[in-house]
Amino acid sequence: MIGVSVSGCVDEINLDIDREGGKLVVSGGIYDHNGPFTVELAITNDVVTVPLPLSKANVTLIGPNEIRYPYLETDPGVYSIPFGMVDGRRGDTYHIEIELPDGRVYRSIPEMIPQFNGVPETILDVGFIQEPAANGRLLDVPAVSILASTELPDHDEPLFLKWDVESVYAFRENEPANPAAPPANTCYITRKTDTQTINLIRSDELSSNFIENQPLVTKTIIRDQFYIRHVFGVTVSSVSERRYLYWQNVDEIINQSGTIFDAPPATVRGNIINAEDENDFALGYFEAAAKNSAYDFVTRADLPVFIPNPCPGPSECNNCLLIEDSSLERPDFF
Amino acid sequence: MLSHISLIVALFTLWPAIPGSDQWISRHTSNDFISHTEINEDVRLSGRVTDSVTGNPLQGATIYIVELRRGTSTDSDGFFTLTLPANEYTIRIQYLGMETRVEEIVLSGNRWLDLELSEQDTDLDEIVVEGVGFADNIRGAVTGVEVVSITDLTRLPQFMGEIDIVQSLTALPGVQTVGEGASGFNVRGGREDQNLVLMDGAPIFNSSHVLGLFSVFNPDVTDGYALYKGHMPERFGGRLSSVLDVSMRSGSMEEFKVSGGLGLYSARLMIEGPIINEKTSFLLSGRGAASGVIFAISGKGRDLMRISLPADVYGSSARYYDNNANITHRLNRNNTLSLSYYGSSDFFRLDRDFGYSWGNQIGSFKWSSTVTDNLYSEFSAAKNRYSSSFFTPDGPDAFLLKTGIGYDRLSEHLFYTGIENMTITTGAEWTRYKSDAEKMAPYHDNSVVADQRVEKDSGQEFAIYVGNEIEFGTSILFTIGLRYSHFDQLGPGTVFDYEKSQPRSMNTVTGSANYSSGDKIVSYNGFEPRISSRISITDNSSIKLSYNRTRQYIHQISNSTSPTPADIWQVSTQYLPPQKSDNYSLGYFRNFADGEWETSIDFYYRDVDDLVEYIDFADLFLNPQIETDLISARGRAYGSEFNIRKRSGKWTGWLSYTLGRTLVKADSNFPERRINRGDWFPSNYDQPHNFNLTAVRSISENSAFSFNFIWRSGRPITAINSNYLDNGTTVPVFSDRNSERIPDYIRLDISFTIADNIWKYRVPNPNRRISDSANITFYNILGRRNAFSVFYKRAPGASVPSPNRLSVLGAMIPSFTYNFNF
Repeated sequence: MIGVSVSGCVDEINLDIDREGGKLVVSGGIYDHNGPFTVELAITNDVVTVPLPLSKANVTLIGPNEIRYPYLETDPGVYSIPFGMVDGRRGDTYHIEIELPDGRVYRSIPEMIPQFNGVPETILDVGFIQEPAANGRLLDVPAVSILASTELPDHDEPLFLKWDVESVYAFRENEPANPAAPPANTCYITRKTDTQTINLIRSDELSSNFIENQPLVTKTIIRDQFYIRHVFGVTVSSVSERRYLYWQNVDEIINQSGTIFDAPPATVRGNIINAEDENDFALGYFEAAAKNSAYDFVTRADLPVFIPNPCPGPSECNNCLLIEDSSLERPDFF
Repeated sequence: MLSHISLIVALFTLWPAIPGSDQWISRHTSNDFISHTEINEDVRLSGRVTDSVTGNPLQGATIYIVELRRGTSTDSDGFFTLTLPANEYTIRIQYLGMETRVEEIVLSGNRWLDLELSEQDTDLDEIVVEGVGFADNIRGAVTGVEVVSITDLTRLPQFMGEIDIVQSLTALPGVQTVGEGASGFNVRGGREDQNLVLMDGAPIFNSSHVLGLFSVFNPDVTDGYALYKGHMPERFGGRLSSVLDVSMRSGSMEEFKVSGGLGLYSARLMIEGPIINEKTSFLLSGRGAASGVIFAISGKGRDLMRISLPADVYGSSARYYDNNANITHRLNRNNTLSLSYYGSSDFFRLDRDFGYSWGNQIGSFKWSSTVTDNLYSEFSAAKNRYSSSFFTPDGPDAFLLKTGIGYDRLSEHLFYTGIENMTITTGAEWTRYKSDAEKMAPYHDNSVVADQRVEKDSGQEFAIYVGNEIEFGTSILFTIGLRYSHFDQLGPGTVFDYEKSQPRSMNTVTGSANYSSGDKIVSYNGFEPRISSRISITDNSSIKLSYNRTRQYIHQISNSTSPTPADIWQVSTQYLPPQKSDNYSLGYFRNFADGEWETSIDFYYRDVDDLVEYIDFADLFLNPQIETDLISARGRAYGSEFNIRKRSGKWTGWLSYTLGRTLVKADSNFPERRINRGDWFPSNYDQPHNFNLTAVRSISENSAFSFNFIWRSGRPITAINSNYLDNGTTVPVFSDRNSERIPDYIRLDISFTIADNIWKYRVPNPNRRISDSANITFYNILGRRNAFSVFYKRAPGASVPSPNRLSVLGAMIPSFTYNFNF
């Protein structure tokens, strides 16, 4: 009976649906440091691709005492307040105002940077996982698990916490054959790790102020990006309850189980609303959050397998900036 | 006791309307009483048709006046009434599967007839009702009612080898389901919980067995059903959309019988017989199915029915059983007592992912009494318990979530025909709903899930009603009814107060009040007028109009594609007012070729207030403040149903087409609680086009071929139409709620039935023989992968979920069932 019912068939299909574009997307925030702070604006596309950057908007941060700080467009659709212009303080309330080129004005619901935040500690665990090979057989491959232990301060109001993981690894170009040539560059490639996994906890559901060995992301398979140092950073953000619910809803729609018992999906509502039309809300969120980060790294000496040098080989070995999200600037924590 | 109190109340109420008490007394002294009415003056012929063996009323039996070429059919209690010119008549009484009875009567005054029909030696040719000239569709007062006997259903394609009432409903105009696997059914765009489903008068909360593949009605113990989808008579209430009144059988008073069936998917057995001959009977039946059977047959090949079963299916399990028991005792010719029990159990587990179990238990007592020739009383008491659970069996967060609801119910119904040109019904009913607490517990010892418990609300519903069917000559038939219903939400419970200027949420609570057990927390009440009329244009055509208001005080809270067995039944509360519906219907009926062909077109409109809707991302389980996730919405449904039916001849069947819309509007003072900005949007069940063709061809003396073709619009869904990045996470953007549609549903079934005496086997007793039949059905013979739902799921490594079609039946499903009785 199950065979003729549930077995049924689950197959991917193409739906002939009306694609809608033209919705404003806002992504950015203010944090408990001196900046720089950015806001990215975009307009959704009428196909399922990344939205198009929105230029020539006026974006203003409004802080305590209604002090206004204008953002400058530094790249298409990217608006920034440079380092040192604004000192984000815990307990202060901020919001942004966006005036689009067509005259529409959107404002975010004001948010306060939470007073308290957890302090994370990164734990890296190297082991093996099973991965299917080309022939379908399962092979044991080395992988790194990222865990975090987080200590929470004493607090009266509940904390709403989100963990993000990023990794940075180094990639060194081929050494030039000509000694007179400029030396080989080292690039630092930053990756947001497993961004579709949302790690959330609210402190009023915890029985203690210490969260121990919390697994954060699916295991990262060790390949040649571990040839030089590979740093993992864990950032814990203390966010507003509204932002927490936003992420909770995002998690619900991107990780549906695919059964008939799933709750029907919906667009997640953020905190940016058209000043003239309360039914018109922008996608995305402008958050005010407190952040703490911790880092740890592995080198190939820590690994149970041999990691070959990826160079010489791909063209990136001659110009490492060809690698996506690479930079020659060495991060402080590296 | 209540019966007699109600009886006295009703008689007291009606007394002034009775034209002379002496006349009334004399009428019931004899069935053959003839008044001094002048010949050719209109008089009334009333009566009741019952099964001679079981004493059960026969619903849908036809009473045909040969000379006038007109007739009527019996209601759910077997009653009929006809107004005729005084004269001598030949009347023919027919019921599928019963011997046709012919009576010669002299009708010179109002007259009552008790008619008993005996079971027929069944041959398919013989069980075709000779409906020519019957024209009940033209002359009946109520529009949008479908009366079907169980014998009718035997010749239709049978899903998985079983006659199934709910499956058969979906072939009728205006009745749909979300798809295979869905619980329940939808009538004229209504929700599943808006159907009042009655098993011998007792409401049931879940009419489906596992995955909705079978209904809870065992065909062996079911007489038939009436579906009221247009006009709801005043005796029914508590639901907005429709009434499915299924009548169950009693055991034979004359002889022991065994019947049953064995099929690829299920088996059933029923035993009945007299305990005291002609006085007391019993009936016991059981039915069940288990997934192990089909897996054993399919074995390693996994290619039975040409579908490839994924590995996780083999770790899955599904089973159900149900049983019916009945004892009926005839106190005397006019009084019958009946005690019934129904129990069921369902279990379904999808590999190690999740599972459900649920069960119904209903006990009922009924006292049917023909008080006088003109007055019939039915007292009933029922107790119902519905419990369900949802579980995830694996992992550190494995849990078991239990919920349930039940009721105690008393009702008294009176049917009175003692007044010229009138048929009066009246009665009262009381229902006490008791909800179980929602309870979550760890599924196994290693689960870290903590015990949780959320108390649920209870209440009581009381209703009284009176109705009258009045005939003005032969052209106009008018029924007017009034129902008054009252509901109390009862303690224990806690009612929270919220800030008026903020949306209701956990954070906007300003206070709370606690209520003790039995305390009234909030009350609702109101009148529900029920009006219907038929205006005959010619002998072969009529117009029918109806208006009725209905109220619903108990709601199934669901936000999934189709209600699940574990959905909560929630009584009305301070924040969840009763749903209220105004229903309008207008139909034109026309018969051709002496009634061989019936045609109709029915227009309907329904306006609903306080429809229960859920906000986006509602959390409906273990929520002690469920009102924070629900909003009251408006609803409306409108459309037209076209129907052409051929009632007699070698080919019979019907073709129907429904064009309709069902819309919802969920507005609020707070924009975040609005759905689609407060605009009207399609409901989950909005399927504008619904076409059905059902045909039965009698091939020879004992065989028939039938087919059933369905095409209907795809159900609305909410689809991804864009996406954006937030902090590196790709977030899909969905369309407005229900603004897109899944592909259309198309299905063709064919069926072949060989009925009666396949093996030509007769037992030594010449009066007894084994009667048997077989049915072969190919369900979804086109093998079409009709989508039950379209859901979004991320492929491994992908950031944007992609649409996936879930076809509950993705292939042709053959079935074979052998049925027997002796």
